[in-house]
Amino acid sequence: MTKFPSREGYALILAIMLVFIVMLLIISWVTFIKNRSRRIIHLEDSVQAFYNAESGLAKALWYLAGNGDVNFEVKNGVRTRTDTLFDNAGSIANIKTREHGFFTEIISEGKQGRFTETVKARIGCSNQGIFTNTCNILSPGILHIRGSVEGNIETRGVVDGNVKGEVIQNPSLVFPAISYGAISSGMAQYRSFIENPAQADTELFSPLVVDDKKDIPHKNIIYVNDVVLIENDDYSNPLTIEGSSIIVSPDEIQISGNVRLSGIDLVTYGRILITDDCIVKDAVLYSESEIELRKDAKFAGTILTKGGIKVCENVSILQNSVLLSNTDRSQIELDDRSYINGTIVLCPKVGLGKTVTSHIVVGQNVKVKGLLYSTTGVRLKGSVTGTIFTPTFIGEPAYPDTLNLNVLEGDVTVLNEKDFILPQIFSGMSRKLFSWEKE
Amino acid sequence: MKARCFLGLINENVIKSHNFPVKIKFGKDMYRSLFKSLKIPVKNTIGFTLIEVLIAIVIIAIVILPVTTILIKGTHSSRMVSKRQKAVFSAQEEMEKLLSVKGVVFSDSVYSVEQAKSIFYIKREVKNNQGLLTISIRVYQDTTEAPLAKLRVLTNQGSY
Repeated sequence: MTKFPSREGYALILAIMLVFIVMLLIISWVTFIKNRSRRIIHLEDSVQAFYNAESGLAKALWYLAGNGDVNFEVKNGVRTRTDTLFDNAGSIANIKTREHGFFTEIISEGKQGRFTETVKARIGCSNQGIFTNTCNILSPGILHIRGSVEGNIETRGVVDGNVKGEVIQNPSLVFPAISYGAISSGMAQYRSFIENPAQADTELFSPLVVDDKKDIPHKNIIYVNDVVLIENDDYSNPLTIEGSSIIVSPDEIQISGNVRLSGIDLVTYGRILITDDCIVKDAVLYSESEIELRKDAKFAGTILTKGGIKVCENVSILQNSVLLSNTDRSQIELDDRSYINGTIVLCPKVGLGKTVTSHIVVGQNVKVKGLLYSTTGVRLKGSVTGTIFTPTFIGEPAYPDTLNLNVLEGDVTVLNEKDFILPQIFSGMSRKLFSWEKE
Repeated sequence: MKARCFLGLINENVIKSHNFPVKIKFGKDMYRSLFKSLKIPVKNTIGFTLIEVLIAIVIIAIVILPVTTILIKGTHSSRMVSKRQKAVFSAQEEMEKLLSVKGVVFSDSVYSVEQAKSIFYIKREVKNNQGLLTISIRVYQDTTEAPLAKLRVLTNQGSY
């Protein structure tokens, strides 16, 4: 009799296999559902974390407007504060503010559960009422237009020439008041960096020559008791340096070549020279002497000096930048195919017996978009899209009939841009948030 | 006569080794008659015994019961999760609408919105604290129940 292999237990194995497969399917399905629900539960927290960051921004603005019992911790000019929002310990915003080149920078970090979101923004002044007229002239004499003006002119005197707009004669014309206090305190803040090397995080006693990223110490304030040279001759490989440092030198600072600087402030008694295709952005340049930008350089930020400013040879100044000088002898000179988007202010202190010879010069082939504000005078040959506040236009000797006064040789047109932000140097202007970004 | 193999239990060799031809009664009792005439011990050829089947059923039953519970709960939770997701998106959408409109003072209100074929009720609350507004958005499927999503934000009243 032949014996056949036993098939007992076959159903059991089948059942176990079936159970195993079903269990596997169920486990993966349950894992998927669990992960999804965890993600959705956390979705609310992550969205709320973002709104906490936004709330921190709103609260910082509220504090800056003079509300609330403000108690900020101050270190190196950065004011920090942690706020519990909505009477709920789970919703927190860490607020950081600092004054940077006449704008206020705010960083707000919102926290909810294990989520953190960060938003950044800047505050400046809104341009309300600034760009109503293209020219605002205090001189009670005659304004001789030799170029073209497309827009209204408000003047204490009369206008001779072609105006595609209205001439408003206003003998009591006044300019938006500049807050000299804000300018002085801004300058004093940067001057104190030069006068007090003890404030610095690191002090160097030899020239700082940077031709590699590693050459700059990773410190907030770097004090160099000699010249600072940041240069790169390799035009195929840019030298990129990003951060939030201040390089202070009582001597000269020079940046040249294929260099990309971002967030690095330069403070000096001497001259600052930026030349040869350099790109410098989010920076404050402070000099007690002179600041010069040349040869295809690009800049975005604030230029602040007690001396002259020279911008020439195809230089571009971008993004609501500020060029401010309170020199009484030098000039703000914009020349040779340069383009400036921002606010140009010349505001020397005047006093009895003081001779002021400074003025703003806008050369031919120069384009300015924004505001030109001078308490002395403007010589305009290039084009301006925006508005000019000046006591008088200064003409070339080619206009003997006008005694070289009040001659406008360039072109002026209206700026139709509501989002143009001004620095916080004008009194009584409302604040405006801009440059909002989520990190 | 050749007997056919059914379910692989017997084959041609088996039939040969048991002195065929044998009379096989085809039909309902074919197997029984075949096994009887061949004198094959039945216990060695059967695949599933009754006990085996019973044990398998018990095992499957033990597994099926919690699995069914898990499936029901999982489906319910999946539906709830989906609802909450839609509710969070609705809350965010409403919040963005409010924040994008500057200079308008909003009041408390309850209204309904449609989000991915679901209807939700939005309860908006606005509190003013010296120019600092607290906007709270709660999203309900049924206003008598707990909110499915809740978002809050502080914003400035004014021209920032």
